Amino acid sequence: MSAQENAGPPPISLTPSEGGLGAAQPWGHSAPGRLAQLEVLEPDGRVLHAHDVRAWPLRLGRALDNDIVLHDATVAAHHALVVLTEEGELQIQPLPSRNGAQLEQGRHRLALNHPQTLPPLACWWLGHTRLRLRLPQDPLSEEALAVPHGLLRGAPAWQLAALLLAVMAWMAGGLWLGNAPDAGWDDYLPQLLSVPAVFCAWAVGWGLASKLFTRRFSFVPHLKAAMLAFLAGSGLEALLPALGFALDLPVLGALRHVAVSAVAAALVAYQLSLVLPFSLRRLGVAVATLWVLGHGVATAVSWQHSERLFEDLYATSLYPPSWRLAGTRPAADLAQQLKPLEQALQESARRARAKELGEQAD
Amino acid sequence: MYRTFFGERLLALCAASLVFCAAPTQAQPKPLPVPLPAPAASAPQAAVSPSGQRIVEATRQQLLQVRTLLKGQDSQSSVGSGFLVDASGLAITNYHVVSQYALRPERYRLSYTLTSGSSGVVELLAIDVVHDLALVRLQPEAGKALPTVAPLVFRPPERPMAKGERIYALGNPLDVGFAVVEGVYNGLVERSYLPQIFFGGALSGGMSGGPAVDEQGQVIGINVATRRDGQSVSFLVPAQYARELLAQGRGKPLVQQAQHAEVARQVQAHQAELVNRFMALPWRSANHERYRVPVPQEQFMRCWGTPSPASEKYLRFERSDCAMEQAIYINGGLRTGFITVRHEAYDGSKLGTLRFTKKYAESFRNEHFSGGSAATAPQCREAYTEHAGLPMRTVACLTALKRFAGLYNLSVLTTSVDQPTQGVQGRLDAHGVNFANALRLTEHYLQGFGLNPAVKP
Repeated sequence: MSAQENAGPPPISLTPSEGGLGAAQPWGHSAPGRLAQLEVLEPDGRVLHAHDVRAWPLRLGRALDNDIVLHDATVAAHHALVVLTEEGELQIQPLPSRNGAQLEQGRHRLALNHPQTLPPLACWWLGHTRLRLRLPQDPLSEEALAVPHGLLRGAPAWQLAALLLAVMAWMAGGLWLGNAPDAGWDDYLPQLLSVPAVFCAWAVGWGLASKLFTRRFSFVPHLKAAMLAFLAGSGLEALLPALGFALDLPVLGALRHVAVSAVAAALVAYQLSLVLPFSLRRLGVAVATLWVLGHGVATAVSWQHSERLFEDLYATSLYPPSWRLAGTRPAADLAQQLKPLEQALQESARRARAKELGEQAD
Repeated sequence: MYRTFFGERLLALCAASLVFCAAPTQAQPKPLPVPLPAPAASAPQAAVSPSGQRIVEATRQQLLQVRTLLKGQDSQSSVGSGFLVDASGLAITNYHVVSQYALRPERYRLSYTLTSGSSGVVELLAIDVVHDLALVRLQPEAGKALPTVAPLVFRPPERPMAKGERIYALGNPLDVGFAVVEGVYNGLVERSYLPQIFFGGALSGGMSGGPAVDEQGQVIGINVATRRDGQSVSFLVPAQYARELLAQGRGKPLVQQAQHAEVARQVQAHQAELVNRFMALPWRSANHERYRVPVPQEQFMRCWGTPSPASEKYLRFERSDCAMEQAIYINGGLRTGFITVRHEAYDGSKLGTLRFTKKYAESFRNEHFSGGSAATAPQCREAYTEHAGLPMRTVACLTALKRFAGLYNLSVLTTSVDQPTQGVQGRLDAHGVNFANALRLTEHYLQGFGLNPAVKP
């Protein structure tokens, strides 16, 4: 547990009657002798240590004669000075050091002879140490909602059970279609039982990643997201070719791979947002960019290789005849439809010929 | 390097079975050509009879071995045989023996060796790709002359062969040495589009292009192919085509350019006649109770039927594969000028609609349309078509032959979509046809499907 979480409620909220005075008489009204608190932060924002500040100026460094001693090999013996100006502003003055001091905003090394104003709650760096000064009058962020701990928290049990049932029903349907009518339970059970195992393994993997980045093992949100995505992807994969069959629109069927990979990309973006300290929006943009790039490259390769945009050469899915809504045409119509291919194929053959002759000439 | 050399060499040896390499390779009871190891190909032969000795004496001086060599490095890329037909040094061999030179003269050169050991350059005068023949001229090394021998003569058409007559095939099998193989004339190959002589004798790779002569030493045919899955089932090009090529090509200038245009022209003429003859024949019936299914006549095609395996209890099907067993050899990567037709009739009433539909779709999906490296990527059009009351999902794909402008491969795949647990799927492939014929064949094939008149749609 970090120092901050043990520190109890912040001092400013203790005595509401003093709140009004806070602006006029900024300090000296919190816990006895505490003017401010210096927080040593982890990269993810967690507070590693908090030191009370009882006097200004504040000298920081590795040597024991500093006001606050920082245990970091990349910090100089006397690294920086924080002073309170007459106007009540905090300023940082770097002392001579190899690594210098930086404000996180802007990330440039502060000049030695130029004291730099510290904006309220700004983060700054001395060597590898990330620091923040909190003053009594600094605003507090709202109390965050506690995410429930425990393996099965994150969604109601009935929701998870319903999703799992839907996933298994879908898989069972697929197995039933492929199995012979006289198939026994042993043709279904092993594969069906592996379904929860596979989803759990997936969620555990993401849970471990979240443990790594957020220090909390979260399992259920990943499990739920994966099952929802599976249902959405499978639904689209089945629906698009069926619509294509009904309406005689082969392109719908060809789009099923695109749709499935879009669902997969959305799932990954969402799960990354649970794990990494970035917003869903930023991750969404990043994953969508990668997805578009990936599809672009794959399509370009497919075009280069076979002169078509999609993997499918033709609509390969068939459904019961009664699902067909589109009308039929006489055979001669199809032959007519082929006519424009002559020129396209001649052109394609001409390019291939030119390429081969070029290679031979080499 | 090593791989290329061997690959090409194997190709030359295998070229002898070219007729069958184009046959469909699906599992079917038809004996498929299985290449035998090279030594076994020169099967034990009966001792040469006294007349065989006479034949050898009379023909050995006119026999020659034709080698295709890589320009630059003198390694041989393929070997075949040939024979002199004219005192001025004209000789006949197979097109497939000289095809590498004919299509890439900048890369290869041809040389000959006579039984006497003298050798020189082979010049190409004319080709007949359809019958797999080539007319060449021998150019002896500087300062040497061709031996003055009487050329081999063709047996005149007025003296037709009788079945059972003894004939002798000559050549240089597998580059081992000049040989004579005794065998029997068995008439023409049945159901063959192009006439070929069925020679009851064991031809081997390397004998391609050599003559087959009768007891009088007159040429009746040219060694061309053998069936690896049979014993002593070999094929000869009838001498008449060699005689025609000699007459046409005698005065022609030497071939120095790649012959793609000439090959394309000959294949064009072949496909024009083939498609006309194919379409002039009415479709046979598949004897299906519901569907009318186009099955080709077996005049120049062979059809093989396959039922569903006994282990398949629920989905019953019958399959028919019809193919021309002859393809025109163009080069190691391209055989063309033939048609195949097949269909599968399914009955899934024991499966139920959804399960049947899944299996039926799997069969429809399990099709490939690659024209191989010699053709462009396929381009397809698809639609719901209907003929004689039967709605079908139809895909037609075309590829163009890259080096032979104006020639295309057509594949038409179609599947009935009228019954929830029953259906028929068919496919026609036409290799090396022109565009207009591809369209004609598409229409012709699709119009072969329909519901039987007794069935109500």
